Amino acid sequence: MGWIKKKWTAQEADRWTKEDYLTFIISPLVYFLLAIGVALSLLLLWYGWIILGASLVLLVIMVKIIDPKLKAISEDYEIKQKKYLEDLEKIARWEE
Amino acid sequence: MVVFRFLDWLWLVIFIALMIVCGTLFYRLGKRSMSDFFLAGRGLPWWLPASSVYATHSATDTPMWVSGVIYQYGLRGIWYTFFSAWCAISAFASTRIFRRSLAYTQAEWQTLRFSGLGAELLRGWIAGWQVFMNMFVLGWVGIAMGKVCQFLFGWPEWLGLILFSSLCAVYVLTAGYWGVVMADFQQGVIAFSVIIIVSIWGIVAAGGPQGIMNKLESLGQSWRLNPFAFSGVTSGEFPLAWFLTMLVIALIGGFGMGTSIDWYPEAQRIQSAKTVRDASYSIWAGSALIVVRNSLWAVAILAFFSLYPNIQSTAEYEMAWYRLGFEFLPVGLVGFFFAAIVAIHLSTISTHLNLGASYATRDLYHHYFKPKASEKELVWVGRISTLILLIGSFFYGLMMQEITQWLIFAIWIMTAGIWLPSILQVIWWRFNSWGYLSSWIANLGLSWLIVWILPEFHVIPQLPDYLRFWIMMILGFLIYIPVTFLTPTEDMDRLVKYYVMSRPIGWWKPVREEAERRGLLRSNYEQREGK
Amino acid sequence: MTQSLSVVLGMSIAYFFSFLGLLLAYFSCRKKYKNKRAKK
Repeated sequence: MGWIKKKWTAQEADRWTKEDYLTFIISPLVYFLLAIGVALSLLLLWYGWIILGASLVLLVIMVKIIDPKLKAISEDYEIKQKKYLEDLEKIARWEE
Repeated sequence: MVVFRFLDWLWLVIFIALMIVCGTLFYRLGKRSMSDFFLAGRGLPWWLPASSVYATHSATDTPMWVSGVIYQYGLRGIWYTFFSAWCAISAFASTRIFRRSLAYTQAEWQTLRFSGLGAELLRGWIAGWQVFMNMFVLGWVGIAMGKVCQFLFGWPEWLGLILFSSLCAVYVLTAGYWGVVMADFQQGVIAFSVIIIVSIWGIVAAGGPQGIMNKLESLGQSWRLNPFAFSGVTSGEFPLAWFLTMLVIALIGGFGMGTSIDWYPEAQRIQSAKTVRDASYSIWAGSALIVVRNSLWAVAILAFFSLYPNIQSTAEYEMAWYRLGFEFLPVGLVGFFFAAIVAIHLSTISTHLNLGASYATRDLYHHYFKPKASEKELVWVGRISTLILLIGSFFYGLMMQEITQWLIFAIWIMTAGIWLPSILQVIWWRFNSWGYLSSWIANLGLSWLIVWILPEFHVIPQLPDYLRFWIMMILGFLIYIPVTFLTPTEDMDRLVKYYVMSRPIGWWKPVREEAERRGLLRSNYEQREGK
Repeated sequence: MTQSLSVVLGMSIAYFFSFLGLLLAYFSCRKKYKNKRAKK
């Protein structure tokens, strides 16, 4: 998956990119297949196992796509969080 | 009635003691500050809020509801439970945006996204609504436990309600959200294990998967195994149009905040996660567990149907999963099963006690009554609010059962009218506080018209739920969009601040350009050039 | 009482509490803005 970006700068990660849009498609698909796959697998139907397997494969792909970006966002945001929390308290206390 | 042996009582006492001790142990952490009492200091790894999401949304009435739809509709009934899929997109869209706002509550978020009087009115509106809704859920879930205890032991309803809610309050009052989330983890593990054990036990009791399928075939009910057995495009009891409406509501709703009633407890879990990444994974994984749990239940209920196919009374077949446990588990495990029911119950009660108290403390008391209050005072206000909610829920659960029934339907239709505005407030910079507030108020008037007055006077026929949803959405749109354009844009300073902090998805170009002009963000060109 | 009427009545009860919250916000804001103006 060379077309999936693995290294992100903080500024790049803050933008909504194709990695996010792909996740928006894959994530519901995983839920959908998981719902059917678990039920049909419990009934020991062969296609249930295939659907369940497909949902797990898609889950791994989804994490590989979005995880590097989420890590970059989180690292950058944690640095700024303290200042933002101070601002939040000012609004709560009408000091802004 | 169920007869408990010594071993059953032993299981029960050990589990209840474990749950309370486990929660109360975090007393010292919970009392440090308001942030600890309501958000566990914003420092939890993803799997803790995830287990809390799962445990909270497994209440005593959830297996009854899932049993009801699966017994009635077969495996296709699983789509009734698929509303939780809003988290599939939310985990990577609105969860990320909300986590970055750092708002304690959804009410507080309104004053970060919007500005001026409109924002404050929205904050008060949502806080008032949430305090009430949490008390309502506590009464509703509490009385369900009262009924379960009456069914099992012949106790009066009030005893089951008061006893278990009070036990739960011990650790919520002492340790706040720390107690909630730690007990939820333990309760989630117990509940999930028991759901697996009872469901598999039930399937085996019905002759295993092959036995269930053979029985359904002999009854001429094989369609029950098909999750896509629609009754028609728009006709019948399970039309494709309903299914598609559900998918749209659930999936697109993930871009908004407050599109589902479950958003509010999730919002608290999002803020308690230690990073944006943890928040995303916690919401995704917690809801994935719910999806898996529903499928486990669904097959167990199919097993129950193959054993008892002719039950007509809804009240009777709604007890299907409970009956599988109490009728088929061996002696000694029944107490274990009941302990899991208590775990399921406590996890829901504890969340709503703490969540309702967070709106009362952070939004109503701190922001409006006493902005200068100290952290210690706020923790105590949190405890007093928890106690008030607890006592209120007793009265509510015991005295207003009929109203509780009304509200269960009302929640659905209420969410329908504000579904689109709840998305617009996240994705469209021009949508303002007056537009959002007007959508809530219009929703009430439209509901009276569409749900009751017009059908009652035969102006329009009684409409199915999915049609009501679309009609209310369109009519509401015709009100709040003009209101938005007739009232001023939000203050640009506030919008820029919110944008830089939260980086919302959607149509925010003018705000982004203003942030770049002020030097708060780098433009596309600067990024490409590496400036 | 029909289920439809029950639904809208139940919803109105929830809205009543929202309205109380809104009133609290309104009077609190009015007080804050007055105090700010007086300080200026």
